[in-house]
Amino acid sequence: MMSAESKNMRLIAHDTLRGFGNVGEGISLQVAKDGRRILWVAHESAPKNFSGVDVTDPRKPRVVVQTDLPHNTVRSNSLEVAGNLMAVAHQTQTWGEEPAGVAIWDIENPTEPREIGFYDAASPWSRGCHQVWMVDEGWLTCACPTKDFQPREKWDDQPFMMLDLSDPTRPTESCFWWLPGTREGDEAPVPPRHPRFNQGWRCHNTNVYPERMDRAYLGYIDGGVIILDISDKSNPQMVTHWNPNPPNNGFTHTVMPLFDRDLLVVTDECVYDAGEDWPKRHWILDARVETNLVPISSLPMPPVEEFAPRGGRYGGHNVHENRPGPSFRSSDILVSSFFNGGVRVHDISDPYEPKEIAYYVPETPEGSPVGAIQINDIYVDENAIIYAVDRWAGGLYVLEMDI
Amino acid sequence: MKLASSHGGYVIPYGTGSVSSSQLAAFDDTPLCEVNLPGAPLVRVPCGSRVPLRLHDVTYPFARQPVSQDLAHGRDQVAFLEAHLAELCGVWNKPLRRFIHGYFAAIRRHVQEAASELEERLGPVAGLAELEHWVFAAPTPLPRAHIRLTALPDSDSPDNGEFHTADVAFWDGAGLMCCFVSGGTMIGKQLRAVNALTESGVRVIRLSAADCNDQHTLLDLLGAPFADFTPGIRLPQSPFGSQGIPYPE
Repeated sequence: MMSAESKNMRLIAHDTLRGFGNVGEGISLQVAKDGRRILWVAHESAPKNFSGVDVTDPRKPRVVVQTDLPHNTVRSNSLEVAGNLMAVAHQTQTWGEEPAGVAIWDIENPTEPREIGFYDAASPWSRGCHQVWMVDEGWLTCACPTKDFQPREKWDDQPFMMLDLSDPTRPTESCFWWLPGTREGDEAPVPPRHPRFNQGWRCHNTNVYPERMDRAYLGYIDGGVIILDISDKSNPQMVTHWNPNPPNNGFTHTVMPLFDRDLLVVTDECVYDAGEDWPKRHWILDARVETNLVPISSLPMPPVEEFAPRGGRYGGHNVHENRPGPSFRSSDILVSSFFNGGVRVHDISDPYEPKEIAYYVPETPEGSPVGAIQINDIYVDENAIIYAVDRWAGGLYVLEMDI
Repeated sequence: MKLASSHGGYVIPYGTGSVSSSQLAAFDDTPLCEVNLPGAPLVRVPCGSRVPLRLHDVTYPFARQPVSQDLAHGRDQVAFLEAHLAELCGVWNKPLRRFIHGYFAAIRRHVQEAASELEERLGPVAGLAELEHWVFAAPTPLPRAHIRLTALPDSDSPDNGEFHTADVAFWDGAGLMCCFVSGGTMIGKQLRAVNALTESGVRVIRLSAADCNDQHTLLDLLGAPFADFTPGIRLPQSPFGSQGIPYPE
């Protein structure tokens, strides 16, 4: 069992979420009407759907609600909150199952959330939605097909989708894009498969920021980075495409623009244990010329030889995404999740020479099947309090930085 | 805390990302003429100075040497200096570059709005000095300024003689003023800098992107010393001239 390791960061609270400490890639913070601060987390897999945790006092987190999924072969994994609405992804284990799509919940009363709408993406070729992004009221984006989207290769099944939520009880498609060649009937050829780790050409994160409502920043798994011009929702256009896979090992996860610095932060997700798909890193790209992205550095990480044998995955995954709302926003400080590498904080004031300035690696959670912490995702609030979650058993870790 | 002085003044390195503590010795142990921080221009403000450090007061270490024939007119000189100060913001700092361009737009606008009066004040030397030269009377912005603070004699503060970085600093005649123009959540060293500077009597303000873009209100936001920067100046000077124009007596 590994004990905790830290630098310039300390644990101020830990909650195993009533014994359901397996959390996915969805963390979002709501400031309720009565002033309570509710952290919503999506579970990585069944039986739980999502949990609401009262973090009004971040030193004393308390689960106030927990919901169940309808069966064990669907997962929620991702959620987002804007105002009193919450969007929750539903992805099934195999193609053709249900429910597959995006659920919309009314969370005005956080202890009694009500599902009020559902975007149904179920089809013989669909697993539904893997990721949602909702940072403003009235719309969301997601990695999700339409019911009639038939990919040529089964793993290319989650294109870019924007849903209009002006009536949240009836989410409707307002923008839909897939990489030419990935849909049955396309003239373009099917994009080449990754020679070692074929995970498909499809969306992972689908970030759109209110500062640039004409751009969608897509982590396109084995397809790398894609920036879309979505100013015309009926005719989205690819602005740029940067793909380091291969030689890199695929699974581009998040593309986060730093608008005030003309930089992009791009994360890879490690998806294999024991360093099999190493290197999985977080990259800094020069985006001064949007159509010609140039990688200029990657975030320093501890040696793979030291961390990979600890158990589970070791490598990049996600970064706090500077979303609007009660959220930390910085173009100099990045807070990232690195599975058994824990939570790591980097100063990119000089983007050519990023520096690691803090980290926290929790001890092995009790009941973890991989024998090490697996920090899956992080959220940093406007007071710089970090909420980090374990993928298997550890639940929620609340951390404070001293940087 | 208070502003640290050496060589009879406040020495402020600027235009660079950081100044290391190992370079501190240069300030205390070396004659000022020999102080050389690689890549960091310096200004020195006499302790207790009650006049602004103006654009025309500074000797700029231009990376690209100005060519006199290209800078024959005031507007070209102003543009050259604006570009130089924008370069000192660094490649990746758009908010700071936006501030520099917004500031120059605002001081140009101020001169244009007072054109008739300022043209009249040029009377005796009209033709030698141009209206645009009045722009150089504005306080000079020092982008990425490193302010050295020191503990008060009876303090046990460990923060002694360290630099704190401001996005931009001015010596405005009333004292040192620091602006923070980068968006985002302030934590760590930024907050410590704001607190330490404020505690040392430095005026600190935060400006949004919208503030920096608004040439109509930016000078008001910067404070009274910026509202009208030409009184007290008999004739405008240019930092590109070998010497000021003598006022005909």
